[in-house]
Amino acid sequence: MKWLDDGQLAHLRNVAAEPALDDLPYEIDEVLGAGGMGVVYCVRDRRLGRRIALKVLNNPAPRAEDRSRMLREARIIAALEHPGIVPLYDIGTLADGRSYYTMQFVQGRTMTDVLAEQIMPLAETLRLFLKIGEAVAFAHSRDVIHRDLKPANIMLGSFGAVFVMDWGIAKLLGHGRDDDTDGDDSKHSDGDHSFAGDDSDDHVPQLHTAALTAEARDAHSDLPARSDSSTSLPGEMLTKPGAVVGTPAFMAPEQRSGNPQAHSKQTDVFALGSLLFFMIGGKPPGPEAELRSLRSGERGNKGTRVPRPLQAIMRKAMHRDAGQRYADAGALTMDIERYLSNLPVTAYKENIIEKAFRLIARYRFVAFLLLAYVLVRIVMYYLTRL
Amino acid sequence: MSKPVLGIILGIIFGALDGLSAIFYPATRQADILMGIVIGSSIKGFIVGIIVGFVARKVQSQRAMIIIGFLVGLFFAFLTSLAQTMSDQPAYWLEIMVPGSIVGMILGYATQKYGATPAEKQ
Repeated sequence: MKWLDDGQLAHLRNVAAEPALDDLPYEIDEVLGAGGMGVVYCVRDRRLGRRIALKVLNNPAPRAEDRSRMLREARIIAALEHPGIVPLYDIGTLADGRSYYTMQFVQGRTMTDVLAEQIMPLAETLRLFLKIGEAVAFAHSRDVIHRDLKPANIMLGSFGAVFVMDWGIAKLLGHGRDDDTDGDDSKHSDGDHSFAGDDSDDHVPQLHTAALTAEARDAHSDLPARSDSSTSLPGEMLTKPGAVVGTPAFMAPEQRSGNPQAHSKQTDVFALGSLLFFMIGGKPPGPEAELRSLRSGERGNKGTRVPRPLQAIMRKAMHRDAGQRYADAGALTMDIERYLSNLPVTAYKENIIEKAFRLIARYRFVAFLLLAYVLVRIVMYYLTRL
Repeated sequence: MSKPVLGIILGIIFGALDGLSAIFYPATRQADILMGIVIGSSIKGFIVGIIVGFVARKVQSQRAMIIIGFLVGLFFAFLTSLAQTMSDQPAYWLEIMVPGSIVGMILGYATQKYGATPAEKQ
């Protein structure tokens, strides 16, 4: 009798675990990601001839809680129709009883991957950040908070498209029941995304896992970072098999404290501030001193010091006290837009010299012409005296 | 503010300032002469401003408006210099035409950049 080898066994296991798509016009291309709750596949839609992402719950007989969580997650994503948020196509139940939903399949690279290669020029970074901020601002306008914003959850698609991914632990504000109590906060993705809007990572049912691990990491900064991914960030690590925690640098203090009731739009604002810091400097934010010495520019070059108004914007966004931060992502992006347009930002009180330089920068061509006019007049004046 | 209105306002202001610069020349420092220059220069600025403002409504290019402003400013400064020469006054070709063309460039740029374009008719 011939025994099956490990490879054959693994293949059989995978085939057995594959969802029954008999009633659906999809065929599986590849597995994009797997987690505690479910698996995300890249499937081909035979009718339309396109690839889409399919998320399927692991359990054929899911608890009502899991089913409602998935439905809630799908409804949140469906409510967010924005160019920067991956659209949801369909939701239903497979023949084998497992719940699923389908989304746009996004091809591209995560922000982590892009920044690992090259730090972009400051203006380009800010314009890119604006796209991210606008997507989050849209969610905030619908009272949805993301709660897991980090470079690994930003996908840069083809033709300049930017997507905010992984709304798996998003929360709808202003609703009586808080779904966090079933462990949302403990779920954090591993940073390797190559698929549509949501991964199936671990929804670990211990609320404080992430918080404890985040604080433990802070206390022991020499703990090893993940080594199984080229795109992992310092601080991302496995605490136990299958349980991946988030990146503490991008988590607001109230998020680390493990109190989901304290989560608000300002929680996302903190993460956006940290994300901006990371995009500019190529490293997660640290203490205040680092903010002052942060330099922008391509990696390997000395770079230029980040202007004070921009430092102030990041400082305000990453304030320890949530009440001192921007009210929401919209307010933050508005200040960035004002900075890019050489307008005064709300986060920084400029002195008269800074104001003069800003006005010259804003009206640089008029300033140049006026200077040319004055110079011409001076030259003419001296010529007539000769 | 619409482009023609902005052009007129800026044209009068810059024209007056341009005329006031004559105060640095001994020959034109007398009050009555200076006043005449300021008024004349303001009228020139008004005309340049209104032309540039209306052209800016049709032309959408920033660069083109700078060039048009330069040419219109230069042309009217030339006419001013020519009129002076014809009235047997000392000629100030460079002193009028060079600053006049720069003022025209400022008007062309400013009206295009900061003037409002009227909404398109449905």
